[in-house]
Amino acid sequence: MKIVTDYLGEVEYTKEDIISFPDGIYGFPDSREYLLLGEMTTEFPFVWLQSTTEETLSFILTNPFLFVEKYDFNLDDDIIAKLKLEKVEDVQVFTTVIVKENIKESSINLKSPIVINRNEMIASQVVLAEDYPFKHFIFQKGTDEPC
Amino acid sequence: MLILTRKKNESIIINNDIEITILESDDGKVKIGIDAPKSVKIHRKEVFDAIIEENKQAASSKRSAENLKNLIPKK
Repeated sequence: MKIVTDYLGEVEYTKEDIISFPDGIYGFPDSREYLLLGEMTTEFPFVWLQSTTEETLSFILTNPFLFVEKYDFNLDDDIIAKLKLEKVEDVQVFTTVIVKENIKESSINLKSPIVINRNEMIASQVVLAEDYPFKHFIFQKGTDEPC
Repeated sequence: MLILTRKKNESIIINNDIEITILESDDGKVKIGIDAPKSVKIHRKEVFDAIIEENKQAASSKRSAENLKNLIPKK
């Protein structure tokens, strides 16, 4: 199967690459299947979450642990059951990134991360009970460097 | 919108398995108790709206890798 993206061009994928979001992503209930495109490296810690059904729908995801020192949360039992999580090694946590024209206004959403079971390829956007902000600015105030 | 009047400690049942009870009401505030199966997601509307707003902005973000490179933490 093929999909055309505006950032990586044409991408080929197979059924096995599809990550299912049984509840969709908040605000986008019609897309239930996504691909993780790109490769997360230390030089470039971003991947794209691309809808397979809506070519124009994608999100930039990053590894939140690179941007915040302490990011700790518990997953509710119902989420664990929904994601069929058995081992902690299967869990991958991403946060969505808002990239602004003025790069210093860019932020990541720590309150509702995307949690993926890489073994079962099931994912969900969870809303944490813990007190994390929807907008965590990547750049600290008054500095030119990402924190 | 369906509008029902309830008194303190009275409740309504939605879909056979969700019960919403009025626990307290005074001074413009209403305290509500919700009994629902674990799989039912319940959010304060402002939280729900905030998630959707963040997602909409994220989905319309500048996607170019060039832009993203500026966001990488420098160790």
